[in-house]
Amino acid sequence: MVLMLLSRRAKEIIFSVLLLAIPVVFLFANIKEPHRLNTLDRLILKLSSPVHQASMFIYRWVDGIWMNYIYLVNLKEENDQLRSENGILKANNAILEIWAQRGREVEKLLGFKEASSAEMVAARVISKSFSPYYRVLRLRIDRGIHEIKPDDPVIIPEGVVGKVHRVYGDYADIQLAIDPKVRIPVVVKRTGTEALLVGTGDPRKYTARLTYLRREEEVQVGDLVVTSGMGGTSGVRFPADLQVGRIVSVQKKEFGKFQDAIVEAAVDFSRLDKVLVVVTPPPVADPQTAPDPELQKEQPRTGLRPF
Amino acid sequence: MNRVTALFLFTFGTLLLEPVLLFAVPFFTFNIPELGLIAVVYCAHGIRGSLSRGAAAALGIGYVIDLFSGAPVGMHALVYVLVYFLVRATFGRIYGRALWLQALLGALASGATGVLVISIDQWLNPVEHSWSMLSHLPLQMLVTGLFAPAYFYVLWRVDRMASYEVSVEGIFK
Repeated sequence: MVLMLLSRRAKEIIFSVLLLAIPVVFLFANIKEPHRLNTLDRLILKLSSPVHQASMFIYRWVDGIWMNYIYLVNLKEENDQLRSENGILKANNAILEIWAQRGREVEKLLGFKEASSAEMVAARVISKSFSPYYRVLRLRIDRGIHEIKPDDPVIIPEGVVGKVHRVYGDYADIQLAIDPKVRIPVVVKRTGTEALLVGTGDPRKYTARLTYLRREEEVQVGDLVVTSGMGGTSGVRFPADLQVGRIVSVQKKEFGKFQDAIVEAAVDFSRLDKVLVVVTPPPVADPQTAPDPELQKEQPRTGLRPF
Repeated sequence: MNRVTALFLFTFGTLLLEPVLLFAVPFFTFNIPELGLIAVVYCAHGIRGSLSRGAAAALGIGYVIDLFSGAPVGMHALVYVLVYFLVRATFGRIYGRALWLQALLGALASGATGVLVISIDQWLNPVEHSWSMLSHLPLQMLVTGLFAPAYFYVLWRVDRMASYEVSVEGIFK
């Protein structure tokens, strides 16, 4: 009624202000940490989820037509299936190798054996490079709230990808390992030096910084950095011995306890297509526990659900 | 069909196809022409008329880009609406039809978008190196500017299909 009384120009201004306010509300709801969302934010996210699903459905349909019928008729489908199987086999193999290697080392040195298990779900990366300003720090995957949760580690057979940041409806955001907000406990493989990996956030390079790296440790350019398997301050715990990257520069400070090292990520984030989300990380070994003879026969439980 | 709706639907389709088509070209894996933004500029300068309708199209296009790009939802939607108003306010009285003028408009809109996105992002989430993204702007502006005249022409054709009354408006054809 009030709107009808207003002049056309006034209506235009009101609608324009409203159109500016809508994205602001959406933006603030989306940038909040998941635990700080209020009812309105949750409602906004819930409302936008079906829109996103519908858009994704259309996008997949268009993408599917192009990739499956126009681009490569049969080869693409076959290749996708093989690549998917290969990814799962590689991941299984990598975990089996880690499990066997760790088991051997522990048995030999400490006399106990560690059982390792990690349950993972495979997920497809659904974000594309639409914006030149958002292509590095976040990705979206198509696994939702029923399967994954915030802080679950995200990996591929080649190494660490990042962690689940937020889950809404049937999709989730990933924070990449090179994001400055992600902290991963790591080990320099050659020296066994422990450090904390923090992303640099440099959009042009996939790099991270090793923090709390003690000055007396002789790390070199080219040293391989792997996950330590310990929990980070952000609550994320990666399986041990996963490749993170290689050291590309070391800066020894003249004073202080620590030195700086930059690590180049092992994973090419721009080419990610499918990832694995670790929903149940392997348990941390407890040296006090006596070796269980039944456990020694048991195979590692590496539950991988296909796409 | 409403002109703005037709342009929005066409842009939505283009945005779906863009990464699939451009992914095959190595250069465009890094600097992609911002077709959504060009459509926003067209709505602002080519359609004129209702201010809020064009802004709604800008909001919709920005929202689609947010959904697919992994940016916080609302970021591009907000920036595109701002750019829409900016173009309406600053270029509203320019009527030249030279291709270089269209390219310039596309490039300037791209630059404004870049500065706004990076600034808002830095304000909301201050991280190291965020400002270094500004160094990408000149190349991004160039790519978008070069694509702009051709895409404006395509949009003009779509616009004409949606409404036969469309002749020559603003600087496009």
